[in-house]
Amino acid sequence: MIVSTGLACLILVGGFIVLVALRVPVAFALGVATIPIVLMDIRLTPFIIMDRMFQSYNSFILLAVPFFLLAANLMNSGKITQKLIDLARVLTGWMPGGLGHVNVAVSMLFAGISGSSTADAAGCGKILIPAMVKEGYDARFAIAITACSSVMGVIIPPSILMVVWGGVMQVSVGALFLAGAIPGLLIGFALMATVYGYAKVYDYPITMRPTFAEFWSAFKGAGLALLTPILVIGGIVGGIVTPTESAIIAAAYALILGAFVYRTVSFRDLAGIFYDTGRFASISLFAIGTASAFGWMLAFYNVPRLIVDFMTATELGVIGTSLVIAALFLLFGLFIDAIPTIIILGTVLLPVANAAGIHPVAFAIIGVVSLAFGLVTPPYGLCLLISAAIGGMNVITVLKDVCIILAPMLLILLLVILFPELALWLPRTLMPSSFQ
Amino acid sequence: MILRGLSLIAATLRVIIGSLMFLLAIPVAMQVIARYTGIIPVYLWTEELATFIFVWIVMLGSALAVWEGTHFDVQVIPESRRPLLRFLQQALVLTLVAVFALLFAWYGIDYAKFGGIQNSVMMRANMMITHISVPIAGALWAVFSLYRLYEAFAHYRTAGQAIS
Repeated sequence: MIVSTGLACLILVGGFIVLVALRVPVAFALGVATIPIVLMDIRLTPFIIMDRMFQSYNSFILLAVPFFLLAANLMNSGKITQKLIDLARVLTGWMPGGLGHVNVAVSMLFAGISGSSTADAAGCGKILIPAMVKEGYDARFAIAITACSSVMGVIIPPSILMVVWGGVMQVSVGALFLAGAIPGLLIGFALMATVYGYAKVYDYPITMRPTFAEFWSAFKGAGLALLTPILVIGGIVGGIVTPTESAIIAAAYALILGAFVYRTVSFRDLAGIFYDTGRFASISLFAIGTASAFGWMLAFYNVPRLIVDFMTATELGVIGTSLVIAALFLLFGLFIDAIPTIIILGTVLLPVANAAGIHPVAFAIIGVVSLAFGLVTPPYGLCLLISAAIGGMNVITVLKDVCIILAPMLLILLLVILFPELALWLPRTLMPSSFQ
Repeated sequence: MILRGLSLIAATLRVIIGSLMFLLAIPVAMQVIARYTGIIPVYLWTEELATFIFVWIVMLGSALAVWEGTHFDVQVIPESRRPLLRFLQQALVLTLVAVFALLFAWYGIDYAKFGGIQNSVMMRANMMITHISVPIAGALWAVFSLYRLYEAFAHYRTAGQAIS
């Protein structure tokens, strides 16, 4: 038989929701949901689905993902994270709510080097959550601020999500990296304002004002690590290296720092780091395959075109459409990992954004920022799960603080929607050639 | 016996994944070194080799994650306190994964054969070397998920006996 679009949608989307609710792993749920349709529709064969899935891994740009993860893991193992914390401490520790600011500032520094939010939550959380609790901060606040600040990892360049986005939707990764910088920094400042508010209300302690010698020593310690964003982003923006090459340069640089400069990574550690990276990268990237098959099937049944027709008919305009797009990404981000969401929802909404006249780079930033927030919202918020596990608390108990800290961050997302130039200005200025 | 065999396979997979990740760095690093230093010539096959290794990492890693139970899932409904319901939920999930895996393995054989009649563009390598990862991954998912299913059943039975 030939399956109608309505029935296909019902089986694919409905099936997927039921499967996820039953706790079928998301990557498999996406694949299992396609089985009934392949069996029913005479135009489809398992071969097509398998090929769609397999070909999605055949992308050189995606190779950047394991290397950015490798760089992050090397940084965490090589105590580079500790050096960044030392620097963040002299930079912001003297403000009311000292360690809270340190937590935010170190995530900004970490984000500029790694590109992975989960590595940020794990690496910084392990050191800062116990330190904050020891200094008298509420554990719930410590967990919530660690989780929320780690989302900057995928917004401030480099960013694994932007690499995937650029690869899947044929947008310049360099332009996306630059576009994430200002919104990312704004989110950082919004977080610091929230920490300040918390410090005033709960009377949180201030760490000592650093002496110049302390400042210089911290800066010297972290200075070499801070060269990474210049290497990575400078290389891509200057058109010197591709994103994948920049990722391996970042990983090689982190390796040199860890093994030879700081001498904190031994060759024995390396085997474990390579294995951990491969394992985690494969779990994240495996979903790309099943998500591609699922997304292809939606496209096969013309679902994106129907959504474009529907959205065009509603005449929401640029801002209205952007708000709907952000809401959809936020909603999906609650339940699914960011990478499969980019592949399914991103590709479905791309024509909608184009039809509404939203710039592809602005669309990407709205998508990535919304999905980054999904990293701290249950039931599927990886960064929150990691931070809560480190702090030894249930996710539900820290939810109130997460909501309070997220509110100003959502405000920044709204600002980016209202004023897309916040995202577009930097790439337009620095990369005019690749930025139409 | 079966557990020992499967644990051995999982341990081997861990070594392979770690080694492949290390190997993956070599062609990409060669590409960077060749392009920017000129110490070695610019080889065109490095990009292709890197994607081949990448495919294997993803496929074998996904199999290992089925064994370790580390594929991401979402807890929307709170876990039931009743052992029977908990077992049924686990059994349903593992059965669905196993069905998907068996289909993947079965149709993957044809897919691998299809790879066997193609050569890659740069290295002129027979594409079977990557396409074969599809049925292998499918078979590993199936074996691992079916063993976990058996384990869940055994656990449910012993828990039931302990209560009675």
